[in-house]
Amino acid sequence: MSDGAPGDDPERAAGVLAEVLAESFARRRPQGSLRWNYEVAFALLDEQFGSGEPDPLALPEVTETGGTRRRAEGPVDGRPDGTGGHSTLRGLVRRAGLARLGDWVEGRAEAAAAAATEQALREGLGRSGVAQSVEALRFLGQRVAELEAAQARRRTPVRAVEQLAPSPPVAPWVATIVGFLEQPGTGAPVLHAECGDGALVEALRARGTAASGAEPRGPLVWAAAERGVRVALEGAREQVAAAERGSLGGLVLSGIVDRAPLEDLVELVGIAAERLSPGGALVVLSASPDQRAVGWGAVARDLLPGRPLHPETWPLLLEGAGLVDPSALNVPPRAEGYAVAGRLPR
Amino acid sequence: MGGIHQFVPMLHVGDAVGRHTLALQASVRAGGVESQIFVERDDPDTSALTVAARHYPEVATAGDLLVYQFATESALVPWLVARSEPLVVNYHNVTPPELFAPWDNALARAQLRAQGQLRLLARRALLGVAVSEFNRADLVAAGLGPTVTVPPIMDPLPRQAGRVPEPAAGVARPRAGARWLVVGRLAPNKAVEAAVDALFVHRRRFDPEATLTVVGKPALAGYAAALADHVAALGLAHAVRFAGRVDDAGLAEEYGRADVLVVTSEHEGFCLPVVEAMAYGVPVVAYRQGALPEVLADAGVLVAGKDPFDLARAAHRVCADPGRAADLVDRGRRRLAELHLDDAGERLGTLLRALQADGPRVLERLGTRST
Repeated sequence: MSDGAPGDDPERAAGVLAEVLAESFARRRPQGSLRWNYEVAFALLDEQFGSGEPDPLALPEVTETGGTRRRAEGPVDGRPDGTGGHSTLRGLVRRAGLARLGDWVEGRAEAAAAAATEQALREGLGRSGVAQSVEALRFLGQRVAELEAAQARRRTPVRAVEQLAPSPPVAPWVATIVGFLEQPGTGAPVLHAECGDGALVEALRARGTAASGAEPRGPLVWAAAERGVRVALEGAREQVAAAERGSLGGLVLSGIVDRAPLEDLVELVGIAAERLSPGGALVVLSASPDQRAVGWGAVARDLLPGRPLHPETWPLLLEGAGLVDPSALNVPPRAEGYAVAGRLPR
Repeated sequence: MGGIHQFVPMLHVGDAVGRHTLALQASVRAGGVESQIFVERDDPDTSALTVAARHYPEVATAGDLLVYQFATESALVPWLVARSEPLVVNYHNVTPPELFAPWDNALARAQLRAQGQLRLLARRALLGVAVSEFNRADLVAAGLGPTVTVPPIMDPLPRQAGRVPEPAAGVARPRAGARWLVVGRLAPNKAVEAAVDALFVHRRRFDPEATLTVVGKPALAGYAAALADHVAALGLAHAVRFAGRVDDAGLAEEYGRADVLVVTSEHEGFCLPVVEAMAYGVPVVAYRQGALPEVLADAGVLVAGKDPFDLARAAHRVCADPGRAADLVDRGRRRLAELHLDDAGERLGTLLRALQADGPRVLERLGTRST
């Protein structure tokens, strides 16, 4: 989907939304979960090193994209007894799909497995040494699973919690924020996390800036599509984290800053700062604490985990993340809330 | 004279394979032939109706014909292949593993093994019986020789228990609040999220009060959770109801309330809910996938591609036009008669008895063609 699709073309808007919906659900698959991949790895290791004979019908593996490939027949990596060795285990780990977990996990998993296996071989433990390696991986996997579960419990008290909070009015702020982002701009892309109906994204694209947006509320994604703006149906945290380090010329946070707990905001601002290129700008568009408390319904007050911060607090958070000269932007006419912005040093 | 005995990994009363197996047993017995159901594992609900497969050698008789009900991988397959009795494969379809891979790799690998087992059985089976032409293609691809198509046995066949369709176009006024129905397990191959997406579009474009009821038990917890999250993110939590698994009476009630059955499956070997909808007088709108064109024919709306806007538009045309809905219901009734589901059990039972009595002649007559 190209940027800036005309909003008066309903067919094209429909195409935008159909893609967004499909991608949104695809992101919910557990494919990328550390826990899931460890389980896959262990299942494959168990198949290879279990006490019984290898299953002759367990022929191919399923790849991430749904294709299949046949597993090598006979002992892996040329070891006649097929019982282990560093290269054997590494081959298994690679085939188990750990490569998809990224450098961090793969590096540690391989290092742990290699060290344990080499030690086992030195001590002449043979097959039981491999079992120790597997146990080491299993322990690590269990720990990851516990951390993931704890994180999931903490962050999702209710489903779609963002639906409880009113959408922040972005439109009156568009000109002010665009002006800040362009003085001076870096030329790098701009991301608006929780962009509502995409008004700011649309304005930036109209001025030639590569801009993208994410919004967790389906009805607002629909509204954006109707104006020809493709917006990902996704939360701000996930969208910011998915951006490459140092890739963004500007990042605008709204919506989530009104309802996330303080510790999450500190973490989010830290991640956001890492995504900015030198000279890149971070803008926080927030509701006023008193004003938003009045606007929220009883259920929102009970269930939303955080509250809007006071404007004096944000400069401290931005400075803490390494941004310089954080300050409040002038409040435009008819605008609600406040905006605080800072930049990374060039 | 031996018997005609069936083997199935587990016998469940509530699923299509279980009902088919029990009905086939009744049909075979009605012809005066001994018939038992042997299982790999017990289901407590059906343990009185089954015998553990390991006990079959104790009762095996010369002249036995064995029928394997195939829908999943099972340790029964190599065991059956190693035996000497004539074997028939009654194939209900294996969901392609790539549909499970992003959700449950272990399950995906089980499906891969099931595909391997079908190839293994193909070398050994006398005959392959598929429940649809779509499924028969799998049997042929796996290398089975003679193959035939006999639809699944639905016992009892759902009867017209729902409301009477509107009699003619324009007589009744379309109303807001269309009631969509999806029936099927919550599994990735059912692609229930596609129905949710289309409902989202439908409410925005045509009918803000439209609702969706999803009947079926979660098959994968992760998929069901993702589905609930997706529904919430689209602001549809109050418009989509997950009814879970329901009994026959509950299912009849759901069909009775529905304005349209929506089928968005990525893969269907037959799709019993389509037949149920025809029986209950509910029009069907479906993506053109798997066996749906074969089963539905012109008795429903088939939507090419997977665009939620196209699906929403098609469903709207049905829900907003009582005449169109009534026409589809009439076509559904005719199609239901054409499928001859009511004598499927008798036909399959007769075929198996003939095969048991005079296998070579029956196989020569069948050749490699379908019936």
